[in-house]
Amino acid sequence: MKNNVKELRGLHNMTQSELADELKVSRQTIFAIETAMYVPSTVLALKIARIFNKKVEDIFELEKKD
Amino acid sequence: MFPLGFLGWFVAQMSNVYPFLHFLNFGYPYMQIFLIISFFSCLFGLLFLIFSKEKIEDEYVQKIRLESFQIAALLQIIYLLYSFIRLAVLKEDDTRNEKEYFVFMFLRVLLVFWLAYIVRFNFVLIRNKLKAQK
Repeated sequence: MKNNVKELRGLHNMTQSELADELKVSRQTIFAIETAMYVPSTVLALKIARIFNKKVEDIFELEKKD
Repeated sequence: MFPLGFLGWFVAQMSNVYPFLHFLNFGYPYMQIFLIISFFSCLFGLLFLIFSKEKIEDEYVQKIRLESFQIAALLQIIYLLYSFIRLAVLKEDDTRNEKEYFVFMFLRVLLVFWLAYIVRFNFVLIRNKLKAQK
């Protein structure tokens, strides 16, 4: 699954730590999500979408192999 | 606590086997007391290591924890099989004291699970932390 968390984070001028603090997760979790090492749970995905004022589908995108 | 206890226990055990460590063998009552204290401090240290939580215990950490449990369980089964195969292959005089052999074998098998879990969990966590810092 692809995601554009990194780009959106850049647009909102947020660091990984700031985003992590807002989501109440660790910084390495944000790193893992951005590098597609980890697919977040629905709850976390919804929280990320809420922070960026976007729909979940706009942030996370299915790939052919999924 | 765990590494110190383990080191103390290991060295004390080895002092019975290897001549160059004989100077550490203080004789019957002291040695037993030292062995018991070091072994139990090792076990308690392990207990604290296993039940300690991360500062931020989020879903990613829990996922790593779960994966580590799976890998540890797999390793334990492999080690159990290896131990039985070793028992079958060993010569008779090596297994004279079968009861003792089995007690230590199961102790080792139990410890392999928790050690594998701790090592794998911390390895992945530290590796990711270092990657995230880059």
